[in-house]
Amino acid sequence: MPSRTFDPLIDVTPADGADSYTVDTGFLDRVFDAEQVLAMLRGRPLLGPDRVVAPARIRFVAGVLQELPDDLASTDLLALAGDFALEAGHGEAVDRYLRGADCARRRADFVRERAMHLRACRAVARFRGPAAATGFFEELGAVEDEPCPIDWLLTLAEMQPEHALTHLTEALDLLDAPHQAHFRLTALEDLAERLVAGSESELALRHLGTALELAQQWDDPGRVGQVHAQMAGIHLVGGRPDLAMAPLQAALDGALSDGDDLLVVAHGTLLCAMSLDRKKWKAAETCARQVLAAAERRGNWLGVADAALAWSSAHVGRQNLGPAVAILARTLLTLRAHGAHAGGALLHARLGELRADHGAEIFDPMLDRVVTALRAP
Amino acid sequence: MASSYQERRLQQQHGPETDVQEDARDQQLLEGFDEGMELAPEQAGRVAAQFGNAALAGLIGSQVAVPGAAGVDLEEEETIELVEEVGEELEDAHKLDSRSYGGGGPSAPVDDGNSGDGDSPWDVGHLFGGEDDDEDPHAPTRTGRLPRMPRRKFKAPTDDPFADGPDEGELQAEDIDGVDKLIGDTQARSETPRDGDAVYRAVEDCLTDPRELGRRILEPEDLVGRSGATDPVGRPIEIGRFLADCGHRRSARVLGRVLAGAAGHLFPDAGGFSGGVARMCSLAVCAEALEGGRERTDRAVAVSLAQDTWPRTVSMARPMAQQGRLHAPDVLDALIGGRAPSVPAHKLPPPSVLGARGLIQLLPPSYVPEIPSIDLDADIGVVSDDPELAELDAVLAFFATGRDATADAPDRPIPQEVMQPALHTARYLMNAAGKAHVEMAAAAFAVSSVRPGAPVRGPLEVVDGALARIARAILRAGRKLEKVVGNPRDQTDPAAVEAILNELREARQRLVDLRHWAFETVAGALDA
Repeated sequence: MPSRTFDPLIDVTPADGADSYTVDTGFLDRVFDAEQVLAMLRGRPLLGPDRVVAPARIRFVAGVLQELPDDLASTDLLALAGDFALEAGHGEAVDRYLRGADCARRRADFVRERAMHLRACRAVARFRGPAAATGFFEELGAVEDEPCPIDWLLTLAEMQPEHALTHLTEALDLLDAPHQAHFRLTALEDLAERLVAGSESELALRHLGTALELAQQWDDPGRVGQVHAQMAGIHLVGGRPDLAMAPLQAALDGALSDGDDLLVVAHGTLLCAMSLDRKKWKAAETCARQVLAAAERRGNWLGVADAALAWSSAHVGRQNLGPAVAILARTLLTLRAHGAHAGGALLHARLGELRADHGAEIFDPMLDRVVTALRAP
Repeated sequence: MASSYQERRLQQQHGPETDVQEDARDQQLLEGFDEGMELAPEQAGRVAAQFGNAALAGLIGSQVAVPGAAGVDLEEEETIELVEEVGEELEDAHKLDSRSYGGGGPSAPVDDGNSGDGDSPWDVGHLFGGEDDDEDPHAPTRTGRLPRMPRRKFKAPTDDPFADGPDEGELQAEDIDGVDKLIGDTQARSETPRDGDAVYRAVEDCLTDPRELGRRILEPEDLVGRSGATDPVGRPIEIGRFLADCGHRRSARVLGRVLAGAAGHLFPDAGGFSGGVARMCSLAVCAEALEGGRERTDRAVAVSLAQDTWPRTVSMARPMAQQGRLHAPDVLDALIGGRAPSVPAHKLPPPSVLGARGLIQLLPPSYVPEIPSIDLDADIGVVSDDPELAELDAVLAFFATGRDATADAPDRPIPQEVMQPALHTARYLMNAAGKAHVEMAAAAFAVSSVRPGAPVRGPLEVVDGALARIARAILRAGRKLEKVVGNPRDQTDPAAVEAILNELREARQRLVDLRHWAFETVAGALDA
């Protein structure tokens, strides 16, 4: 049998000073604390501040379980760790759920074991497609008087994409407990995604509205931004860019407050394009500069090129050709210095466009002046 | 059907180079066909190879059923020789026959029945019962394809606003040269080590020539017809489409959908064409970064853009299929012009899920049919409990269909139409197995084009052997099903028929699983 994969979240070392043969005050305190932390993990959804601190809490409980093995606690902990990975889209979820199922079986808790297996099946279907999980799913099979209806319906939704709307709707009716809010939010987003695929944008937006309320209620700016981005995407693809601006701005604000540079680039790039289209030069410039900084930190040179282009376009829109050329030329030389020739080619093309637009007699002296200044020692 | 074959054989016998021993052996094989189209097991094994070829021939449009050894791992050397000899002789026969069956010439029209003089006895349709489809214009041909429809001819509009002509919006050489003089020209793409989001380079292949990245004036028409992975607008759209369909992370899928469906909003006038291209390329990088996985994801995305691999593979496989020597590894070798790198079966690369999805995107949609259940009494209508009503039904049935109710006797022979759904499915399944050779070769070629030197041959060798075993299993089950036709109903156990169908179902499942495994493993070579 292959050795079990090392899981950095669960397979942690016991706390410092832990002695497996000594029951001292420290040990008792740790057990007491672990019980409290585990209760917190069980009772709160993986949303907002609880989501942020969940890995640390899980690791703490896992450390205590090294000293005092407890299958019941392990099952719950592995389920939570699996949920955490599933929400984040990480493949470790499958292994964690299967380990949780093992713990449940050791305690002869077959309902919990089935729940873990269903979740593992769901994770396989989500990451590798329903075909990869078919054998597993058939082995689990449908049972009369299903003991884990929520897990069963959510798994069915992954396994039968053509009936996902029905299964998700039924699951949402059952997902009403506060500690299941993250499942409910994910199910709402899944439902909206399926509806968008079926060209039912209005209904999708309604479900996303509910998801947004939930994310705001649990004070989760990351998920709020995610829902806003989905709403903006629906509006953009549906040809309603005006309606997309507000959710995009909200998503960008969320990304900025989270310090998530990747999302700043993604949302900011879209917002900048719309500001330019509406001739909101100041807003476009502000947004472009935010994107430029974030893209540079990420090493996204095409993002840097795009932000420089947008920033210079804001100047061109205000009839300031000089600064526009300076921004482009400076960024072009910077990108070339980084070996980022693809981004450089885009800036080069933009300079060519401006030259064609304004004429060589105006453009060339301006570029010459800029290049001279940039190359000056 | 067999008589036409005999005629050709007779013509061959008059040929100056006829080998008497070979003729005797083939005649023996031929007699097998005459006796109710039954083949001895070893003969079935010998001809099994051609089914993959027939499938491929149908797939690539030549609609030829030429015998050969394609796709089947026949164990005895002499068996292979026999199949090849028979194939050569049939080719000779085709030359004598006025109707060409392939070999590079124009394809003969497909006749799905058994009445034509030119019918090949090697055809899947005959072995798996294709005789009763003559009247059905929508029935699949013997190669499993739907009959060829008349090709529609599009007449180009005379006032096409997008017709090729002098492009006034294109950047002129002087525009770029003028910039070059002052700031230097753009160099070729750097191969320096990359870090951060710069590792996502799949989109950069279209960003080399500044002249193609700009327009003097941005017009809405500039965005029309921008598709394909070599276009600076089409490439990020393709990346977005791929991630929208196949991405694991929701945020990547959402951004991918925007890229694929809202490109028009990303080209404001103020930014020019180059600004729009930059925006789309930057968003493509963001979508990849949101998906995560760094180089693995980027290679998977790059492989999904290798759109020319399928047509190139098909054109390379065509002559091999016609010669009856279709094997996925050989097609790959021919495509890359040498023996592809390989690894032993126990060192195959770990699977790549996203890469496999990228490969599947390159291929035409595949369909592996489900095996239907067969009701041996399907030819008997529902009989009413009311004797008068039953009699009336019988009279009506007689006048409507010409079927005599007295033929519903317990010892009636099982008619062809009862077994036809299963026989058809077996034929489709065999075709799918044949097509899988080309699909796998195309997948491996795509991987090689993204990462030259990737060890892609190993998985193909495994696939080749496995497909041969699957083809043999389908052939065995198909032959058994064929034998059921005409048997007395009261001597045919439904459980036995169900067992045969289960054999087909098992072969189908093995084919589905093999395809799944093969795509993931071939894609895994991207990262090996």
